[in-house]
Amino acid sequence: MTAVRMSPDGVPVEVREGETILRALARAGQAQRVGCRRGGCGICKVDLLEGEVAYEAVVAPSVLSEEEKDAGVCLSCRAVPLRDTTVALRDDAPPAASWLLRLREEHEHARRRPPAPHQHHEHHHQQQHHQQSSTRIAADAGAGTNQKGA
Amino acid sequence: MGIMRMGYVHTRVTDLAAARQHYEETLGLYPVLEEPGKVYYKGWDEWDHHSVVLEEGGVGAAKFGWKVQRDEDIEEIEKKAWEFGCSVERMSRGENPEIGDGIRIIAPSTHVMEVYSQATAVGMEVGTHNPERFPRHLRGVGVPGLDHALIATQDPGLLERFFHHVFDMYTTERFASSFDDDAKTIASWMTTGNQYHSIACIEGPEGKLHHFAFKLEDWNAIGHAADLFTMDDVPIDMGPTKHGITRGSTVYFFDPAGNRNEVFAGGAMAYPDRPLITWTPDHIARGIYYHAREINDRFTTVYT
Repeated sequence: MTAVRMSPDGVPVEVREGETILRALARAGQAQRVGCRRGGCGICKVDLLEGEVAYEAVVAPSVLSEEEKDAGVCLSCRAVPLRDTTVALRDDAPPAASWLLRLREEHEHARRRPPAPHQHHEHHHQQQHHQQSSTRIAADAGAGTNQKGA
Repeated sequence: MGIMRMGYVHTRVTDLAAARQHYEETLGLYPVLEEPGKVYYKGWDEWDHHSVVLEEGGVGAAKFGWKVQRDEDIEEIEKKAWEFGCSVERMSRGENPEIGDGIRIIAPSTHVMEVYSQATAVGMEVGTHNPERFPRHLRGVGVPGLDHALIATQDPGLLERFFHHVFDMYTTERFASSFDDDAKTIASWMTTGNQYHSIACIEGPEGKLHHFAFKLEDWNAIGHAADLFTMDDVPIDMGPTKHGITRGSTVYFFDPAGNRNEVFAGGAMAYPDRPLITWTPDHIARGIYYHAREINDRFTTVYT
């Protein structure tokens, strides 16, 4: 039996004939970050610590380059283990979380920004917007509240 | 009226045979032309020669075609593209099979946009003389035609201005950093006619494709499509669900090369004088996935 193991704590998971690393791990209930599951986005890359893999499907070089392959990077949705294999999840933070976090921070910053001193008219205008957006946040916090209720 | 619609998406796929299975058998597009390493398709309710081109090698969108109403619209758009500072070149009849003379514009996001006024008319599958409502022997989902695309750029504000200035589009909905007048545009949904959006752009990796979408009739058709995706083992990204933005119903899924597709139904009617709708980061998850109210990582990380 060929097995794949997720370093450091994972138990060995049986890999069925022709099965990819991603599918074998998922079947055993071991979750990891996945994207398109079709080799197009590169989100499910892992580092190959031990073992050997083959790619039965065509993988675009723009997704996984030869240099990456040589460095032991492996596209888990396409890589089929040829013998017992150990992989490590990569510790790069999911960009989605940081993206939304950054946008939220920018938004919060914009809401807290003091109005420009000479633009009295715009000042008033901006305050209205701030109040509106605060109301919406508060409304969303209360489950089932109609945010347009104000 | 200038730009009438997004006429075609020319997309790259890693494995043409696998892609053919997906676009023909699962989605039900009609193959109209084969060339070495390329296949051209149309939906049953489309009349021009093709709306989807698959090209073997790589992933992502190679280019987008935009059909204008009159020949002279091309010159007008060419002028505006120069004004905007874009690289523009002429393209000749036949550079794209069955597509006439036109121009090729490199958008500020590096996406390639081709503008043309003539395409060989193949006709709708139900014809024009006392037609039936749909072709009896549709395959799979049986998508009627192409609807829109969402593309990524590092500067959505700039790309939005490009579509406004060069394609004479207007924005129906915008995702902005705040409601302030000087807020940053993070994403924008744009159109020329009454279709709610024919193109959208979002902050992300420059020149990449987020998805392209096929239109479906209604919410029931969306659910039926999702059933077929399960039968054909198509990875579903999200859905069936509804968007707050556009008010459309949706399933996001992936083709065999990992390009994201969507089936999209409904959506509001667009008018140039319709008040612009704005979304802010604190509510964007509800805007994108109205029921889950949560954006998964894939939405902002998976591009081809």
